[in-house]
Amino acid sequence: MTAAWSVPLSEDAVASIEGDVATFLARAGVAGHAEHVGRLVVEEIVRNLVEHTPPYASDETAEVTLRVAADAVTVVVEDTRPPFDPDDAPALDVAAPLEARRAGGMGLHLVRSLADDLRYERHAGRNRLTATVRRK
Amino acid sequence: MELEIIERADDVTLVALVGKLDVSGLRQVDVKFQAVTAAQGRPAIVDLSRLEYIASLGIGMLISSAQALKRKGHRMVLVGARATVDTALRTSGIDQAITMVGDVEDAMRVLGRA
Repeated sequence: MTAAWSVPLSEDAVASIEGDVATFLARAGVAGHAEHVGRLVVEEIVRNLVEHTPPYASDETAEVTLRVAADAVTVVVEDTRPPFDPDDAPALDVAAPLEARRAGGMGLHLVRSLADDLRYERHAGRNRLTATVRRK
Repeated sequence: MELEIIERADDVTLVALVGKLDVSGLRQVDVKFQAVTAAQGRPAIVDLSRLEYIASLGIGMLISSAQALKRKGHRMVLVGARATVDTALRTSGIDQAITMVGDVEDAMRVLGRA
């Protein structure tokens, strides 16, 4: 099963599709770890785009595709923002004490840690991030 | 997304996060959660046993509230997280910063109330 959404780069738009993403995964029979991480990848990657998109570019979109196969959920996010490989983001200090923690900056760490495979490509002026989550 | 406030008579706030702590869910509970935990001058136990989903925004809400409590000399304890929520929290290293235990009784012991 496959589903796709064109998501304007605003937090409201992220909020507006999260229910649809959850419904699609449920209808496809995806539960547990793969359901949680599949949703999380969509939310974190698109929200990261929103956070790094200036207001004048907020009419741009992220193209989100979810594919569900027997063994894995694949999330593909494409955008036309400047090149950005999530692997280049600073590492999160997971051992930091409470007082040194920031309330933000964890999203890409979660994606990099929880997706079983993460592949970044830049082609024809577009970023494409492909995350694979095995159905355990 | 709902926030259930469970009254206790022993100077500990007990709240339960129920539902999905996604962008929409966070908007529904964030202000209320801070009000019933961080704004109170006593420890807080947060029951996660009915929390179905969490991502970095929701984890950030827990961190902000726990930090505010710590500045007042109090602790937050997280209890009963389901496997998927537990994995997200531990992957973020939250267990290094906020105590996570299995149930409310364990949390009361951590807080010296047992």
